[in-house]
Amino acid sequence: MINIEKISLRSELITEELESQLNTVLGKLTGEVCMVCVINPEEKASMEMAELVRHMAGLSDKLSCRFYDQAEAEKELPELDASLLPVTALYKNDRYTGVAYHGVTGGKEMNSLVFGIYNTAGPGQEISGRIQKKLQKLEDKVDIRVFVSLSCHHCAQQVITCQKMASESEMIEARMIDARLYPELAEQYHIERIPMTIVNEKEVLMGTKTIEEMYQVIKKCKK
Amino acid sequence: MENMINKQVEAFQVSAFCKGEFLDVTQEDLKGHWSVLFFYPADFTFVCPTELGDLADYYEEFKEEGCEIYSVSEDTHFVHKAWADASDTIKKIQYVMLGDPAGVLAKQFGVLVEELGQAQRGTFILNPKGEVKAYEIHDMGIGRNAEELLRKLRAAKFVEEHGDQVCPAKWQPGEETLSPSLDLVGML
Repeated sequence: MINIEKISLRSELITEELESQLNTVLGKLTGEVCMVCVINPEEKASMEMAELVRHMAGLSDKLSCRFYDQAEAEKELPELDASLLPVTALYKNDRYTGVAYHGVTGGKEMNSLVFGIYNTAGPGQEISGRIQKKLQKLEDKVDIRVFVSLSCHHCAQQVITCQKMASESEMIEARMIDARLYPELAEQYHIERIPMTIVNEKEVLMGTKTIEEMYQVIKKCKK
Repeated sequence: MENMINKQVEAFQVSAFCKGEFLDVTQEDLKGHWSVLFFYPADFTFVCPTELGDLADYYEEFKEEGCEIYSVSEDTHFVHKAWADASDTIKKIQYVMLGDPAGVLAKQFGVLVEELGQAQRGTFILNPKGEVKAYEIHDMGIGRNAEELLRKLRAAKFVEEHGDQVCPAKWQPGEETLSPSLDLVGML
């Protein structure tokens, strides 16, 4: 059980300038989103992310947060991968949206978190009606993992693209994974360049792709 | 001087020397696989055998990358053979040595020094369509590095396959979390 009182309401990662930028974006939200954060309170990265989430939740009445430890998450949130902590997942109307972040969304990945919230809560980025319909018609589960580095501009772009797709389709789960935090995965997948996107454990993509390109890959490699 | 990036190799036909044999090589032979054109001033010089020997030492690794190497000088293919007969370093070369006595290739790639009838040290990496994807040109006395050329070839192949929107993963274990920056919000 997480003692929320031990999580600071203010994150050292959010400066006054950043808070001001966040206020501008979060002020546009039209729906509510809950950031569900699974952490190990003994680990630095977990506490950094927990504080960042708590700080952000305090910036908008459309945002809320809940915290779980690993054992609780494994029992109560089977839809999340609680083996890679910290993980922060976006929930809407108590349902997991398929948008999640393994690691701390520092550096360029702050963009991914903000875009994820914006696309989940609404109004969301514009998307063509044609591709939107295609995504909504998907019948098979799609697992997208984007391995990133926090300093990589292209990585954030790729995470945003994949998570936008997840926000449009209940079948798509798109997760950001900070490869630096999970060396066993970096070794397993021989990650030397990023962003590296793995779709359904079958297709490995390098660099940024458009939603249309990602859709073609998804069609090609059904789970 | 003309920028050579993405320039398509033009028609040519030259005679060449390779592993004791003479053969003809045209622009079509450079297609369907990656190629390196490696110009050097002249046979029977000092820097050249060092460079060509260095390249010969890495030749297997270039082959593993699906790349063929063509050295080029303004000598004839007969002179290449005479040099191979006279030099152990040149004898071990497995790649094709093009003879370009009329300067057709050196002119096409902008490395011909007409008053000397020699080529500057130009290296050109061509993709399987025969387009220049990377090149360097050194003045006569400045040698090149085959290991660096192999790195460039691999980078060119990677970009051709995956596009250029990729970063090297240079994180270190235990690194501090980077301060967040919201530079993409302009997209909203």
